[in-house]
Amino acid sequence: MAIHSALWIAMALRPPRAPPRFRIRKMTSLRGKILLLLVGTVLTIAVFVATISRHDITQTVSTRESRAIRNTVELILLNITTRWNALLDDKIRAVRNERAQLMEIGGLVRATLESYAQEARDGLMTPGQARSVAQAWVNRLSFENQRQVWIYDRNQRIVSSTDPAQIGQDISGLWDFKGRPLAEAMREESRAFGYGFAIHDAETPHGKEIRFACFGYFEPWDWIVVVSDSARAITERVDSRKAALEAEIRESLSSLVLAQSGFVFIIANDGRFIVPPPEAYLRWFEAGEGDPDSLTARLRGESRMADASAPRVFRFRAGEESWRIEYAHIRPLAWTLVALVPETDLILPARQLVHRQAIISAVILCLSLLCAFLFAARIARPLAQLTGFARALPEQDFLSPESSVPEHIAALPAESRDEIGHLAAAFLFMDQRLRENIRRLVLESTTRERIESELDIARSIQLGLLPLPLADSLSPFLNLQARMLPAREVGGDLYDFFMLSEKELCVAIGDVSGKGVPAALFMAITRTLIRSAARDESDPGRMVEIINNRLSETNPNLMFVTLFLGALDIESGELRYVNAGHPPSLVITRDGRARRLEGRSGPACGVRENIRYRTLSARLDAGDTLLGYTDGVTEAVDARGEQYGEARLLASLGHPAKNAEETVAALLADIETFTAGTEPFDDITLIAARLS
Amino acid sequence: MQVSTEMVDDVLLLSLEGQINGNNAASLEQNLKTHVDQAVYRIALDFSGVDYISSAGLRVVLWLAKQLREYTGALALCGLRKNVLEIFEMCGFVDFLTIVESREAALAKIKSA
Repeated sequence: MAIHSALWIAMALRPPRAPPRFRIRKMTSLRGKILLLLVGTVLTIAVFVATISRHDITQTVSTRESRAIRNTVELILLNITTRWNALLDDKIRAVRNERAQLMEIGGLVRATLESYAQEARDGLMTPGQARSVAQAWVNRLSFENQRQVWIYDRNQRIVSSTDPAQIGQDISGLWDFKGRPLAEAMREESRAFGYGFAIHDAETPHGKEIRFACFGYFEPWDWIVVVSDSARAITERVDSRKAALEAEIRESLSSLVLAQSGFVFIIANDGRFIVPPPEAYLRWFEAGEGDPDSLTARLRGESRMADASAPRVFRFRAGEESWRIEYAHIRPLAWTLVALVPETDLILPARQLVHRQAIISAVILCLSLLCAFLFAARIARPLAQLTGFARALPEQDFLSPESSVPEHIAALPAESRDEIGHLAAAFLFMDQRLRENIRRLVLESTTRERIESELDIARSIQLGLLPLPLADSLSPFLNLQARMLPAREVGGDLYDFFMLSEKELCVAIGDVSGKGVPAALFMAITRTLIRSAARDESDPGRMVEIINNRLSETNPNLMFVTLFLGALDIESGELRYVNAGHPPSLVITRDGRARRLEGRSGPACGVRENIRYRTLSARLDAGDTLLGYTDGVTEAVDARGEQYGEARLLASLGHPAKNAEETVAALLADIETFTAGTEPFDDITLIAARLS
Repeated sequence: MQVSTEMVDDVLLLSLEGQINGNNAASLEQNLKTHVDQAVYRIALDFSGVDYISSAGLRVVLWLAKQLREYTGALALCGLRKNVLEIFEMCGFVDFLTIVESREAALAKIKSA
């Protein structure tokens, strides 16, 4: 039996059919999911960062590059302006020097004139003589270079000059550089301040030239003494310095490279290149002269709008390439400094940076994938082991007390204290409990089977206690049927019938308190006592007295049995009976009328000794049926909990029956219909004896 | 079945409710046994809440009556419904037991015993 149970349990635990070989699909496995998650996260971050930073980096780097270009341009501007200012300073110094020399000569001339005027005042000469001597002295003066001394009077006529050709000229038609009438303006200025300076054009034998003149007022004769010199020396010197400056700038800037391939050129307002662009780009200025989109046109347009000398920027497209153009006007020189840088140069460093970033991201991704792969494998390994263990569970022999948990599984809870450890611990706990429970189950089922088999034996013994059918010789007088339906394997009800004498039948029916094995044992004792009492006594009252005394002698649990015991004369129909606490038995007439056998003889048997039981009597006619029943009949309940009751019992017996068998069968069928669907609650016992 | 206990002077009053049958007779017996083991020998059983008693239940009542008699205590039953009383009568146990109508009468009976 036990082996059978174990087999049955093993079968129940085994999966219904062989499972498909355990295989992890890549993307549904834990490892795959972790890897997928990681790849997704890193890629998302990389793409996100690249997208966000690409713009920023491009912006930052190109701003930096632009600033560098701007700085270069400003540096060049500063350099040019500084050089130009130095040149100007030089020029101013030269002019000042010249002026001082002219003033000195002018002072000498006036002093000499004064000496002549003094002689006239002293009376040595007449004023006319003095003026003539003075004029002659001035006319004789001579200088190595281009210097001249001449004097004009209030009539703006030259009265004396180192250039004889000038004497007598009217200079009222001369204008100075500032646009004033030279003679008059200088007379006023020198009269007011003692001297004055002016620049003016003059006709010379060499042609027209610019002259620089110092005017001094000679008050005694109301003359203006003029000392002048040619300005050519200064302008020549400035021009040569400027040419040197241009050459130096050209040399230093033509080799300058901005960013990767940018360059600088300087164009003068007259279209001349001070620093020419590289030859490859000259065509921009040649071909597109009249084109409004050409670079020169753009520069000209831009320069019209620009009034500050700070550098300005605009974009220029030449074919496929876009250029960033930064330019600034150098007003004193009438130049335009232009710096050109391809836009790609500005973005290139940013591109390189983003590219480097992408490579770093890819390397990090690969490394973290590798780590994640190893980590996931580490996580997944114990899980795979646990899975294998769980799948192998049904193959195990749970009845062996030895646990067959593999060592690597048993070590898991100690190895890893995380969720996997907990899971492994739960598995081990489950294995252990499963083992215990199955062992207990097997034990319990073994025990139950033993009890069941013992109860089976007890049942057959109890059924064996029931009386044998009456002899056939009695059938002309009597027809008898009895049924006992225990609610459990064994019951506490009893019935018995036997012949007391040749013509007297003893009929007994009883009900022991409680149910099951104790009741069955008590029932067996009672049944034996009935038979033994019948041997000594023939009076039912006396019989029950004996039975009661025997039962009461040793009955610590106070079990008791209700009894109906009758002695029926099968010829006369005389019935002597005892009812000891039992439901009243019935007499059913041939036509189905039932009546109770009223009266009580005493209490149920087994409770108290030495009780007298009264023998009662009744009479049955031919065709009458004596029916004894236990309370299992009247207390049978239906699905709603309602009891079958005596009224239904009597109603059911109202249908006339042919014999005792039919009476019993019809009644049992009616009870079964009534209790349909409910478990039997109490033992049901019926005994019917019908007189022929 | 439900059992509620109450001490009235030195009498233990047990109020029973529901059905007393083979399924709960053993637990009722155990319950009563604990009281008897604690030397409570004067007991009144109020049956007013009991609508059915089986033979197993009768046996427990008889057992209690015998126990208390041995310890010279007293037992009284009260408030029996008609059908419950009929069961006692049918089995013939009314002669062995003190059965009265009211709780007060039961307590008085026990005190006078």
